[in-house]
Amino acid sequence: MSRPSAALVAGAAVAVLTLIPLGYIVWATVEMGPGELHDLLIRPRVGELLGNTVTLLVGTVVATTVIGVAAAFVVVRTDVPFRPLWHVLLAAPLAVPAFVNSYGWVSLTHAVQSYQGAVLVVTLSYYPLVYLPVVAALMGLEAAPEDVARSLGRSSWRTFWTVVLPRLSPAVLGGALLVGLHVLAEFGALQLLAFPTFTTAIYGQYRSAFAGDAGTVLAGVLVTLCVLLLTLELLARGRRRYARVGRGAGHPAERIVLGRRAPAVLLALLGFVTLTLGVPLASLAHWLAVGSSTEFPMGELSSALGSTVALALAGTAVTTLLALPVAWLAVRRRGPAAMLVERGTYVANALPGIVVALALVAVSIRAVPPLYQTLPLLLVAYAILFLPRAVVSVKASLENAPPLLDDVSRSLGQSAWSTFRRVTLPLVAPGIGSGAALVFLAISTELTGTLLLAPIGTTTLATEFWNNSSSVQYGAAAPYALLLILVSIPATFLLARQATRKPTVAEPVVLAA
Amino acid sequence: MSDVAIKGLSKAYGPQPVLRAVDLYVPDGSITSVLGASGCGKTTLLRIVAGFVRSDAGSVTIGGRLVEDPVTCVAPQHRGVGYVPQEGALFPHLDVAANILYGLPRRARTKSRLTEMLEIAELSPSLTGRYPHELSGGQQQRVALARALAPAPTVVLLDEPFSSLDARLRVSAGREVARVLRHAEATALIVTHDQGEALSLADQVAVMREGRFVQVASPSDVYDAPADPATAEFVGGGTVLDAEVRGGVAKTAAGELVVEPAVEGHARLVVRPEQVEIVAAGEETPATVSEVDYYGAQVVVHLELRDGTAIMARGPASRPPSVGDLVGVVVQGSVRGYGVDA
Repeated sequence: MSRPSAALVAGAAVAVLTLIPLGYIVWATVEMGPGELHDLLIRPRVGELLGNTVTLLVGTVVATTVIGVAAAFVVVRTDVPFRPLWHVLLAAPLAVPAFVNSYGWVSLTHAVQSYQGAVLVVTLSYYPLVYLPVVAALMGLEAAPEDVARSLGRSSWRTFWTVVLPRLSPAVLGGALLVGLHVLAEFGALQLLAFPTFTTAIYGQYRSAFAGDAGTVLAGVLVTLCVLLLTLELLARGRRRYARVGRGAGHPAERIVLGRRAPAVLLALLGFVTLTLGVPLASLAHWLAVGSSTEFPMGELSSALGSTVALALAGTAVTTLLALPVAWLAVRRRGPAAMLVERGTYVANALPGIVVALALVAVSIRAVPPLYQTLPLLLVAYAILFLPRAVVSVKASLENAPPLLDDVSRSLGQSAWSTFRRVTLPLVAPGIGSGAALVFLAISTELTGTLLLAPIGTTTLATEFWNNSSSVQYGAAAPYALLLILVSIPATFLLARQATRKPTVAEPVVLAA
Repeated sequence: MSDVAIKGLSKAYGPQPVLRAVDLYVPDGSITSVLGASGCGKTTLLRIVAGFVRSDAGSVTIGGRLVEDPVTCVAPQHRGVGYVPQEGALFPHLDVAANILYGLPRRARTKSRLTEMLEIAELSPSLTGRYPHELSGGQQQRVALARALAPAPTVVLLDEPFSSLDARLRVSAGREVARVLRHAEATALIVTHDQGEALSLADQVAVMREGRFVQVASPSDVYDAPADPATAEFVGGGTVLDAEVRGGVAKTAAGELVVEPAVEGHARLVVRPEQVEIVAAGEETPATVSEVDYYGAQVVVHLELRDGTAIMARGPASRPPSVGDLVGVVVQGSVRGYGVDA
């Protein structure tokens, strides 16, 4: 059998690639020696950053989880009026990059430049990362266990806690992990909110001292936090499997009739959407209309738009390709090696773009100087940063293509390649598509990595927006923000549709042989 | 179609042996069922024949062509075996027509071949555009069979093909599948844990226990002359009594029984439930009714003999006894005896 070993080699290669930034940080930390390390690590500044980062992390993860699960439940399980519309509106904040959202709030009121403000803005930006997977999981959930729980005398509330929520936990945990990793890596939004975390502090260090030791030590602490988060999620997920037992198409749960509660629920949804979309969009409209610095330099706008789309397409292709062997290993070759490869690729996602970028700069200058400040190096940075998004989606879709179908196909005379093309690929294509959409979204709004690694003269919407908004030219930044949102809409729409698409396939239940 | 010869096949997962030097011959155009409890190794045997799993030792020959031994391993797609797994495992993204024609080369995916396969599998042509989740369990099973038969395989392997169906459907689906297989003159290997299925569908039954075949024989031989008491209990059920046999006759709590084949000394006797007749109390061996399972046409009565031995009777359900009744029992005909080395 040649495929597993090929997959393992490819997966290991991808993991090694994604671990280069981490490797650089570890190497640089070791190189500086224990004395200097101690001096740089044990100081009030680090304590303050640690407090900020951890409290922000906990606050946003809790808030996004509660909001994401509650919103998904209302949309999927109740008869709230205009459900399809609410679903689109609830997924839409994905199309507003966090730093654009932050710009919307900050240019409106400086009151958000606090801990509460940071939790608010980051939560409003990132809750769809929990909402979307939970919607998908809720729609796929068979209702029979709930019926059983109700018949055993459980209230609907207790049924939700004891029967529904546990089966949603892989989706909830996966979403919460993504939120956590995003918070650790977030730079633009928090910089505008003037809420210092490790990531913004590292940016400051690198700006003042290129690749100084202080920044490397901060990056080391950040990486440690990321690893802790991954471990926590792993422990929480445990070894449980939530496979459906039995067979047949199953039946979806009855929707809860809201009745007299409908107006209150509608009001809550309306209020929430006003916060997530209303505020940033109104703020943007305001600056577009009345901002004194607003101008529409068509040439610069279209060149930034063109290079943004081109970079995002190329980066998405590379990232998706690299995600395939990793996801394949994680699903089809479960085991310590596969787990190591998969988790290895997650680590880079918690590194701020600038750490990845500078590590790649440092390594490329030492190992392959001609790569420095070239397109391939930038694409590698994108792949390292956004691989987990592609892996998570591809992995989920691979679960829909059980190995039994491969066996059947092989017995029908098809080669491994033909089986992949005719069975596995069609079954995983939707997942690959949604993974690609997530990556496209991320790359088209990526800021710090692009700032440092883009070939000289290459500007993107994000970098142009940043140059203007960070120098408080809110009006000049507005057209770029608008374009950033427009570029993100198709991918967001695709994702929102993906989550609610009725499964046209009845998942075959595979029993262990 | 062609025959399948399995010789000395062994397989272990780690230290745990799953198959221990298994031999089996499936004649051309016949149906053999491999019967065993779950975990006895029967599915592993099937997967080795199909080529999904490598064996540790032994060989598999299909139609005179060696496909598996320690040095040879023909890939599954070159073995020409049709495989019907549990639940059918239809390709969920393809409709019925595309599922059935999946294994054929592009040029052979014709309307006429599809019609032919639908007819063989007794499926309505109106189903061709449906997707697997729009089919009933029985329909899915027949589509899976049609898909396996379409490329004209040398042998068809069925892994617990009816376990996902409800009891009533299982019997009719079993009959239909057997009819389709016979119509296609297929050589077939069916793995099952259901003795009714194994006995009614196959020409030959191979009873497997702990990675070994304990008996390979015709269905009637397996039932009438089981290889050992455990096989008898697994296939058909019954009461096992320990007794001393002298001159072909055993004195037991259930009376004097004629033992065949003739064994002497310590023996274990198998009394089939249909051999036990319940009569009025008084004349024959007395017994107390401890449980009555009513099945409509039939009734199974659990009895306790005076010395505490439990015995089971099965018969027509006219005037069944009630729990607690004192009755008499008579064992009709001879019972199978198995010598015990004391």
